[in-house]
Amino acid sequence: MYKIICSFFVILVFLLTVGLMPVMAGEEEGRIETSGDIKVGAQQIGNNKTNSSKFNEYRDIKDGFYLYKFNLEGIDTQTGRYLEFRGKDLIRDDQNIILRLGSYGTWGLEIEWDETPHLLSNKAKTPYNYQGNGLYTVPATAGVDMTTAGASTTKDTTVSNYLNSYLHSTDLGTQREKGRVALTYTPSPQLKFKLEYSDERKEGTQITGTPIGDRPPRTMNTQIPEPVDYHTRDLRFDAEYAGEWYQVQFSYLLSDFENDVTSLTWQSLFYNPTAGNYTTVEDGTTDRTYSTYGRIALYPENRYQNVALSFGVNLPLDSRLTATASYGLMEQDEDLLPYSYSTLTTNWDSTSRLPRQKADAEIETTMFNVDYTINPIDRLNLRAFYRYYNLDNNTKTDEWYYVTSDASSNTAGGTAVNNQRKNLAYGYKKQNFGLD
Amino acid sequence: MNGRYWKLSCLIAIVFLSYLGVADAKEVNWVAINPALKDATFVKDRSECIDCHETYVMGYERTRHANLFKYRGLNRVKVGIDCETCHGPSSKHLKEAEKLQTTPGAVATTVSFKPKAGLTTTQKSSICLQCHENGLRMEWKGGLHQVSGVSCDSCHYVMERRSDRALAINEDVKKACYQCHPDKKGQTLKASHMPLREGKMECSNCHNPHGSSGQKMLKTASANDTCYTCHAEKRGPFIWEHAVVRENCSNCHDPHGSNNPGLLNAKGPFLCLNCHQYGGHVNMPRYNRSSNPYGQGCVNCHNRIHGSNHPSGAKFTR
Repeated sequence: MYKIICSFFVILVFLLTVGLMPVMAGEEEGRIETSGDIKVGAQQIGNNKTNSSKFNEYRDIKDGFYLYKFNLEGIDTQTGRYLEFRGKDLIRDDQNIILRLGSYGTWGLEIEWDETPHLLSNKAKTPYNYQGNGLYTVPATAGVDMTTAGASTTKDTTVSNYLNSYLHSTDLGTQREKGRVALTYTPSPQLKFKLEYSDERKEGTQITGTPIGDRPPRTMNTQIPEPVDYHTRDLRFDAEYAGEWYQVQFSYLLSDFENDVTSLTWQSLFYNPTAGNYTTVEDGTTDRTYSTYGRIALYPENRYQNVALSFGVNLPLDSRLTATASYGLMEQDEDLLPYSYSTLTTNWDSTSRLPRQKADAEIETTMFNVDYTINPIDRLNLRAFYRYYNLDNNTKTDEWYYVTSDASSNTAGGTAVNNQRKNLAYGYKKQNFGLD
Repeated sequence: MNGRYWKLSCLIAIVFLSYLGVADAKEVNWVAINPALKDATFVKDRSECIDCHETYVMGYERTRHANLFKYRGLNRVKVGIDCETCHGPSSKHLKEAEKLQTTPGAVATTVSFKPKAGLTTTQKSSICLQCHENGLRMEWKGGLHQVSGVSCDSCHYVMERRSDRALAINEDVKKACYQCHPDKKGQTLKASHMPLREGKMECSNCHNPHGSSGQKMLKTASANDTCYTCHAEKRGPFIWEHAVVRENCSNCHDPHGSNNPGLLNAKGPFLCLNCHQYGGHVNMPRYNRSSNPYGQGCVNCHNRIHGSNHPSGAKFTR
């Protein structure tokens, strides 16, 4: 359905393009010059070529009609207004369509639609069923007795039989769909402005490990498809002045990332209701309680801003000085999950136990770069440079309990003070300077 | 800061500001490029060129350069019009037109970009920089490509529209880069790669080949900022940071391609062991450990390896 809508969009813009030309030209005959080309055909893929997901990893080659490429251009020979409409791999998952219009040397508008698939596997199987909102369940658990730690033939057989009964195919891959609009305005040959907005959706699944239990060999591992539902919006503004002997540039970027699935929850397929959700360490003395569901935090929503100012000047002796200063701010303040999905006897499933409820994470970056280059004689270039980069992590530091992979660390279901961790705000500073 | 440093700083500032006072407006010295152009003047009539070069100019007419000259005049260029802006004053060349057509091997009194003309890369670039020492080219001078002897025409061809944008020498813009970087081309052919060879990315998505204030000619202030352009989810910041990730994505990934999954520099467990060799946990992949090289190796458990926002994520397992 989506592809049909897309094809209608393409045809609509194509007709609009053709329709706009007479409007641009007015009534005058011969004022518009047009040109174009189109490449169409049919495809037939040889036997077994698509057995590997690598064949279509980032493309969409399939049997049938293929609109490989088209290009349509028009120009008003009196005013210099132009229009370009280009497309590639149309009505496929890797299509790209661009519409450009404007007036040479004055303004330009570019609208682009781009799709990129990333096929990770076409043979993946899982016993899990996706219930939406990041939740995976199994139709029944395998029922492995985990009270005794370590691997055994019996456990392996139980899991093997379970998988034989419940495995089914699942998609594994993502699809990016990005729309972009850019407007450039050049009021004078020296002055130029550009405003650009892009909106990208990335959806699908990618593989992730999902352990429950404190550490090997007591960890109960599975691999399941991690839902990907990302939305990234970028807004960028550039301004530039290019004088006779100096140039100045300013740019601002605002990037906003949203993740519509903020956590991944899965049911332990190993759970045995008879044996219970306890396991032991090698010495058989200390029990661990593990959750029948596991949960991990997926990528948090974040925002990034960057402002940069650049300056370049031509100096005597064929020399030039350029300098750039930029400042970036990354922010993330997602609501935090509790320590564990399950209570594990001492309410580890409550956010009230956390030292804070939100991430309160922030990083500032500062960059300053200056280059001086001189070309005193032919074939001799000398360059002096200095670069400063500082990553200042302002994320608040706290002490956290460490509940290991949704399992308690002792029979009391507690986590001792000596099992606490402090999140350190990692930052660094780099300076590079030298002569070339 | 003590008084001595203040005085030194002031002295440097005064020298620098004086230097700015004699800043150099960019003009091409045509005679230095071709001494035969001495006393040649600008004709400023492109129709004179078309008389002999019509076939050649036909391809040029569809380029952005041609349209800009035709419709906007490019009034920032003080000399010549259209052809003469890049080929220099043509009064002498027009006078010798008949001789050139009848005398085999005669050398034209003009500036040619053809290899036999012997222009240096600096001379070629100086012609383009009349108009293009701005935007992405602001740091061309002193940039890695400029000092390595690359000239504009190494990658661009202005007489014909061969690519969708940027007047590249080939429809596939990457081929301009692969001329000098065949190793990178080889990497993109490895099993794990970004979608360059599928035509969904170009080298210029990450790099500014004209020079940049970023390292490795990257378009952004840091390598990670470049990666976040497409992988914004990994930007964080996270409560639990993996230091090596925050510092540089390329500590673990080779963005140009790898034969290990996920563009990794080494196979799963061995990559982690570069830093994490200690007792009490795995220091070599072993048969009975979940960190064995099946599945995703260490990442089977440490799945949030780019950073975790989970309160129990200190070891990136949540």
